[in-house]
Amino acid sequence: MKTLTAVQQSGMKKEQFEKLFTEHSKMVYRAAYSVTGNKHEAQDVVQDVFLKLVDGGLTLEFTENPAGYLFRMAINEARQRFRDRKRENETDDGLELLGETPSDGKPLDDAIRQSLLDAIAQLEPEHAELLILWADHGYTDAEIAGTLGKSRAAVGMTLHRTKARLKEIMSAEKEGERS
Amino acid sequence: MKRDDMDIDEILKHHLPRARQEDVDADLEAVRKRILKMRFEPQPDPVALAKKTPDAARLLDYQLGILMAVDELQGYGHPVSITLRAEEILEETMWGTAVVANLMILERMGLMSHLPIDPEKPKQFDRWYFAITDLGRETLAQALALKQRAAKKAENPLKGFV
Repeated sequence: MKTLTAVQQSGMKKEQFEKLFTEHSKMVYRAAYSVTGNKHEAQDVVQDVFLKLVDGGLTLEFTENPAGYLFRMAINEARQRFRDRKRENETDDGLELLGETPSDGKPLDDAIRQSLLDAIAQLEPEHAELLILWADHGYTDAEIAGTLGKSRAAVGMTLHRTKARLKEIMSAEKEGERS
Repeated sequence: MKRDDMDIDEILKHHLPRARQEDVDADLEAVRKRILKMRFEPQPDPVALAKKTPDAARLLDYQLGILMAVDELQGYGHPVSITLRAEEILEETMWGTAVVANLMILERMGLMSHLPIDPEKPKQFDRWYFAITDLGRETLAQALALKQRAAKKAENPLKGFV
């Protein structure tokens, strides 16, 4: 991994950690929550992301775009946890765990939410990142472009394709359940 | 819902999980404190620690199984997952209550520590994460080495005498 010699290579001062945590932890938490639908897992994702940062020091990738870097880490970590949990639940008595996602208790709503989370877990990582920034954080195409270091046109096109892909996965799943 | 009926924007708007602001603040404060404790608080004095180093030979197999399970779960083991893992390690059924009692004993010995998963329920021990301490890891290694030596001796008790 590329590392700036001018930047701290390993370890981190407490003040530095506190500053980064204050600036970016909310975004990391919200992203993790949107992907896992579970507050304990969102906490664990934040903890893992920041511990890696504290232990690994500030890399060139991080210093170039701290928000984008941490957001990517959060989405990847959250997707992995969501998949692991799903696998565990499928092997344990075939039960599906919906986590603590707030819902109004309607089974149909719960089913759609679960189907949505499953579909997000199947998207390409960069597409999931973009989708969460748009849908949960309410970012515009321009803001997403700034955060992820892409052009605005590319963001618009990718977002359109991502939503189509999401729809395709959810529809296929729904039809699979019927047949 | 047929494919054409599905309005993905509406689904994302209504069904994508969104964290509540009060949860975000409380949870992040808990995580911040956990990280500060794990990485930025001074470690205990090694001399004082050495004085209370437990005797590895006196740990029971049961306790060793629990220590190994906590170690393998890397700080994310709670009483239920620790019990299940320890059962796999020891290949025997374990009582949850006995595991919890031993977790408390091992923590008092300085071999592990705990953090509440939910900071609002700090006393709910079934919602605690247990992590092995440096002392715990060292004691576990010593205990396992002793077990290995004892097992070798049992295989060939006359070694050294013949």
